[in-house]
Amino acid sequence: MSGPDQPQILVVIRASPLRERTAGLIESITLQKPAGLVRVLVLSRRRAVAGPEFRDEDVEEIEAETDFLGQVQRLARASGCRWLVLPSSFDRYLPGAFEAVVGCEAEPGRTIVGACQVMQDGRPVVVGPDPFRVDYFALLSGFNYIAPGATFIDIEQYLSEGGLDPRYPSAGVYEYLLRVGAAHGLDCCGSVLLETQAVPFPGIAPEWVASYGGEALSMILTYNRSFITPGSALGLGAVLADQLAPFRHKGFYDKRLVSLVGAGAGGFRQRYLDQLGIREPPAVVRPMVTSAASGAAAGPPLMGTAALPAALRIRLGIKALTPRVIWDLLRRVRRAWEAFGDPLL
Amino acid sequence: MSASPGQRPRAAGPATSAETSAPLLTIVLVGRNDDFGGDFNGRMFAAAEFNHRNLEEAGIPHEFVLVEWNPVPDKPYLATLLRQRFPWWHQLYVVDPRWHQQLSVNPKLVFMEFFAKNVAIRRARGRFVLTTNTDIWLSREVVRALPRLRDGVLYRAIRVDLKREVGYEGMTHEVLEDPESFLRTNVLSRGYYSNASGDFLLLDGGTYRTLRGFNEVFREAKIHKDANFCVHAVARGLPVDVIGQVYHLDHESSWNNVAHVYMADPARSHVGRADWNWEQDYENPDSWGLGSIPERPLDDQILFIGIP
Repeated sequence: MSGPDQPQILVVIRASPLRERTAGLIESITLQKPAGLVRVLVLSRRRAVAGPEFRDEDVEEIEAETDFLGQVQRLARASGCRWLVLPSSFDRYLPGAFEAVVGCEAEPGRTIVGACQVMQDGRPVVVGPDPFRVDYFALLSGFNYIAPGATFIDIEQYLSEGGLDPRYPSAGVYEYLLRVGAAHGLDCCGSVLLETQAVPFPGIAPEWVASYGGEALSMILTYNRSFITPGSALGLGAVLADQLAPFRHKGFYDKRLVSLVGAGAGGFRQRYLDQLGIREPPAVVRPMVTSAASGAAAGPPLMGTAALPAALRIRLGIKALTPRVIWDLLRRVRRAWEAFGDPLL
Repeated sequence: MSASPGQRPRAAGPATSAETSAPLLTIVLVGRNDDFGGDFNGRMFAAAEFNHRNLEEAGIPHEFVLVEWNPVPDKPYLATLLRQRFPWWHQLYVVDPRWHQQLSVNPKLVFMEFFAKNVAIRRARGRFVLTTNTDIWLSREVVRALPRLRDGVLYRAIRVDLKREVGYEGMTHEVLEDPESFLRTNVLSRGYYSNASGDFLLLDGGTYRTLRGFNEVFREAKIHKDANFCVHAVARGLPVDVIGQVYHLDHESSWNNVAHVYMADPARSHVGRADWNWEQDYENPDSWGLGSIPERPLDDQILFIGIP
């Protein structure tokens, strides 16, 4: 257990291969006040060619081990901190985040979760139920609105639980929420803690969503005895809609599948977020980040055509300029042509 | 095995079993000091240092061979720079630029990559020969697979392109394997296991030489010569195995980035026209890989392949 002058929160950051992302996250932490609440450990995956990768005196940089979860467990055990948090490189903590977590004065053994915000049409929106609370059944049905970076895990409880489940290297914190949430081990912090991305899973970097979505589905199948839940289905649908673009190798993806899920590009992601719950924040607060990495958390827009593939944007533009009757006629001609080439489509 | 000063010229020939000190693996790299794709030398040095270190740690006896084709006038040889930086580099060849003038039929093609690779294949000492490119990083899976290679099998690896911002400083397997590094995966094509095959074609040296290397009959383009070799190998009955991934930092002039430009205007292409029939088999002449051309020491470590 931590002493009075000891950092209360252990932040373990797995350094991104893209330095700017990690630098922005570190900056949003080290600018927090009061200083001394957190201890920041950066696990660097580069060989130290010329000194540390991140030259920040407020963080400790150590070499990452191959067994990430095992290393985190050892670090947590030795830290003397009360809570452990594992943010994504896209997360940017909002001012006062750590102070709010410590100020919750949670009972020993309880993990604290808070809300995150994402950018939508240039404005931050808060993700999750209003008022923010732990909705275990939303989590159980695959609608996870709690970002890993907004999950402050009680270290004693975490160690007694055996740590995160190595079967889910991308979605371990989500599984932990289900595990301790079932035993009512979660407390809520009233503040919005961080700004991040949601494509569509809040706090998961876009490059990780495919493995996260797959793991989340597998985990939800385990928790629900092989029943595909609405949240895991919609989340995975959003990932497929975003990532199954026409591939340059003809016939690589099933044409019908690409056609069906591609039609929902952008829409599935927005639908998933709507199901998680989206609301205006009580006050607009943005991360205190001064570096060029400040935009990393913003990510692609959740709505609007900018996130769509160029071909689809052009198509939507032409559609907007074309009279409805002519547009429908063109669609029928195209369908007839496709049916001629592939009767099963 | 580099020539020492005063060594007598020798002609290339297949490695023999009598060469008891022959390494398990020869890694064939080709290039010139032309900054192709931007920071060519920096990318090459970083990848070579990484691959050499990992092969050493895995206990894989290996040699690196560089063939410098059509060297750039008024610039130091790439071979010289490599020798200065990596004293362990095993074989360095510079091919007389007059060979390029003699063999090239396309003035836009300043670097005949697969002719250069053939020069190395004919001179490789390793039991197995990996023809690859200078900016390719070998994965753990590939290094792990090397001790169990079999003769008469063509081995391929899937090339994963990494974002440029990842950079190469302090590179580790963990950085290479992180999804945040990935830009695209060049999936294997059905039939011939081609697509980015120029970055990883691994075969025992004897079979490589029996097949007579890459196509030297068609000389208008270098693009798709790698896939053409896959066709050649499959046509001669070789099975193909996939043994993992290799990684490649995205850069200017990479085919993935310029294909749309050059397909629309083949006359501008630095790799030649892409629409030739690469699915057609070929038969190289006996002289392939400048095999009968004697070498002479250029300095204490570099061999020069001149015109007799």
